[in-house]
Amino acid sequence: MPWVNFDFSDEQKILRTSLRRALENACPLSEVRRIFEDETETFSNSALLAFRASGAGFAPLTVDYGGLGLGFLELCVAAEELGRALAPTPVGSSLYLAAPALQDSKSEALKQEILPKLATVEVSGTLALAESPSWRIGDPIATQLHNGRVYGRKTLVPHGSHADFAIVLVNEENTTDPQTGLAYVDLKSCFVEKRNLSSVDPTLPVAELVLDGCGAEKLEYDCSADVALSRLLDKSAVLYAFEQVGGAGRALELGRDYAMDRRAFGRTIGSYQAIKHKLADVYAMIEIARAHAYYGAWALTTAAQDLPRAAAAARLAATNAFIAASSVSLHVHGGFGFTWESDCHLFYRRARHLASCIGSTLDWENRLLTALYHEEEVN
Amino acid sequence: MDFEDSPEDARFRSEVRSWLESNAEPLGSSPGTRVAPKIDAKFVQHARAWQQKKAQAGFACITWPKEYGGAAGTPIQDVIFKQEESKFRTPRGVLEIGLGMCVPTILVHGTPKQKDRFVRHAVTGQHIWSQLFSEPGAGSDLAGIRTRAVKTNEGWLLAGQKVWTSGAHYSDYGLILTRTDLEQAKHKGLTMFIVDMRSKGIDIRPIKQMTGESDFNEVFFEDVFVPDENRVGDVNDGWKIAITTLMNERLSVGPNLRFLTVDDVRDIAVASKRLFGSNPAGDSTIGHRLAFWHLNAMGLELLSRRAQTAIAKGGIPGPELSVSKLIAATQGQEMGNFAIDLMGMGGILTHQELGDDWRMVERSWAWGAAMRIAGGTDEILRNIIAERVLGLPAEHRSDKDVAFGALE
Repeated sequence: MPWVNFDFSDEQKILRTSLRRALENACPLSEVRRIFEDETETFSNSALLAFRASGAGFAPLTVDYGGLGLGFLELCVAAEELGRALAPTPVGSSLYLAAPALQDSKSEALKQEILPKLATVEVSGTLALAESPSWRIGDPIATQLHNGRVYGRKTLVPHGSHADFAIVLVNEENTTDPQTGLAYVDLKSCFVEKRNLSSVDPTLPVAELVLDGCGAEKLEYDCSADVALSRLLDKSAVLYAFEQVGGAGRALELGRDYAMDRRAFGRTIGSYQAIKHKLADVYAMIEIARAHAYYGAWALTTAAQDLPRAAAAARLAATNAFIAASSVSLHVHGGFGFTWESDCHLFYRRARHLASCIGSTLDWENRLLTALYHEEEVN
Repeated sequence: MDFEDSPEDARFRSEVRSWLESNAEPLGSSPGTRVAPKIDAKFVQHARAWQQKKAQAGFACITWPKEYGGAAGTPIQDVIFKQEESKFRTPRGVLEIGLGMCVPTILVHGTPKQKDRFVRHAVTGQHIWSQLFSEPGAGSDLAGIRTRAVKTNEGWLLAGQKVWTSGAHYSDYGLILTRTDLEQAKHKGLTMFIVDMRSKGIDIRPIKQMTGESDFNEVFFEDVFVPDENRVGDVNDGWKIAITTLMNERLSVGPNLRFLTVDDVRDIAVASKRLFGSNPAGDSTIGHRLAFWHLNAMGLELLSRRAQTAIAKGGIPGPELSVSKLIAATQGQEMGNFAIDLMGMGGILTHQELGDDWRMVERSWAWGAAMRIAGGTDEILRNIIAERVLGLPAEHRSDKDVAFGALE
């Protein structure tokens, strides 16, 4: 890996500044809390409108579908800002998961119809993989695709209760050799039994879906569905890493601000090494995570061969950083940090949700090690 | 954002590579070959000769101005050269303190005459430099130094003791921080000088480290004369000068620590039959650690590139570089310990029993501990991050605004 211009462009920085400002108005933590406490609300419309206005969803979309064909950097910038704001939106499920699954496929008509509306999240999508809480990538799939219809039960589906469509991991019935595949299912045009699941961060709701004969269109790729899924997860890992870095940075700021305000034993607690060193360590973890995320963004945009390693590293470093930042921030707040009233748990919950959502560190450590060492083993 | 060389940089890289190929020996792949040899007189000579060779080829001090022997190149060219040079077995550890810390300080704060007199000789390897800051009573609290410089009619007389001075015994010049005014507060009565290390009154005694080696010295000054033209910056303005040196230290130390790599640890796990097959995925005991260490090692590599990007855009890498040594040294120590654990009972043996490659394990284990202290302890680095990056208040101190002479 040679040398480097390791920074975003001036235009990308302007996008960051303007989206940050827009989200400060549209999605303060009081808005996050409103969505958190109101069971009837599934996402923040004002936050989604701020994202839509930024146009970042059009950046990765190629011009053939009405996009800008700029690659993933702008969406990464936006993801960091959404993460900072803890924005409760279906941007993740739609643009980090569903959009790459569609865009990489060869299903032209579908792409023409869906992708432009997905870029603004006027149409929202999701990805339905798991079939039980302990399901992991690579586990067998019971959901069947048969004669253009899909039958099965999917769980942990992000924004599953209100997404317009889902990309569903299916088992394609073939008398001799069952194959996994990805299929597009319009969730609005057929009856789908939906159940909202109780999860640690209700601002990013997940649902269980029972698909009983819904019309489905199999997505074709220039590779096997397993490889397509793996590539898709690499992309989403980088995008989620930016959300995590954004959230971690904000959690650190809250901890820092509190440490500068709160006094104990006659002094500001932030002056004690016991407190400031914890915050310094979190800063170090975030800088490491940010470096991996930036490199992952570049690898994503240039389709670099190093993407599987870079994506796994970005996901793991960002997961570790957000978990640490939200934990330390809560701890620095003392007893107040453990109250419902404090915002610390919003970060603590979001960090936990994002750490699990596309597979935990146990899964991603294996992906990282395999990217580092598997080829060597084969040779 | 771009991680590929520009066409000009790619051309420069291949030029550098072919020059290195015809002038140096590639680094071996086994860990033992990456351990630097003992620094003796012959090695010092070798280091001087290599520096001169680089200077003649225009690869020494690439970003420094041509009038002082530099190559007036770009920061990116400097990074490219260092990246490529690190793949070769070149003599390290002799000139870095001068070229990485002392002379850059003179380039910023020195008089034109000092620059004329010293910079070029450092670039060509003729002058080797020492940094004389720490004292037995002043390590992390560096501003507590007691070595006095007293003004005479002709210049200054230095008296006191420095410690942890790398390479004092083979150095030509030293950058020394002294106390010139006891009436001023701790940080305010300090002055920086350039001292000829062969002056009368200097006594250099090696420190035997816990490893049995002697890389550092105690240096005693007994009325050592320094002419006023060797003063760097104003009288009593030495702390500001010292900060420049210390910033440069962090820039040059962190990325240059040579410890076990993650791949080395994996190889040891395979060789010690703790890992079957070469892919640690699925072995959570070993795999978890390797994955975590990879995140840090690769993360630091990427961070140093981010800092270089800042330099290339005309910025100054700030205290955020403190992250680098903080993580690298701790990780070196941890990986050393884990590599030893992989050996099971045999981990109590030394490289004399376990072979040459084991020297790298020993190095990480022992020098990991050292590097968590040298060049700013873990605690000082965390203070720097917390105070200068995050803006947290300094810890309460009782010695501020009190004349140094009045302190206990």
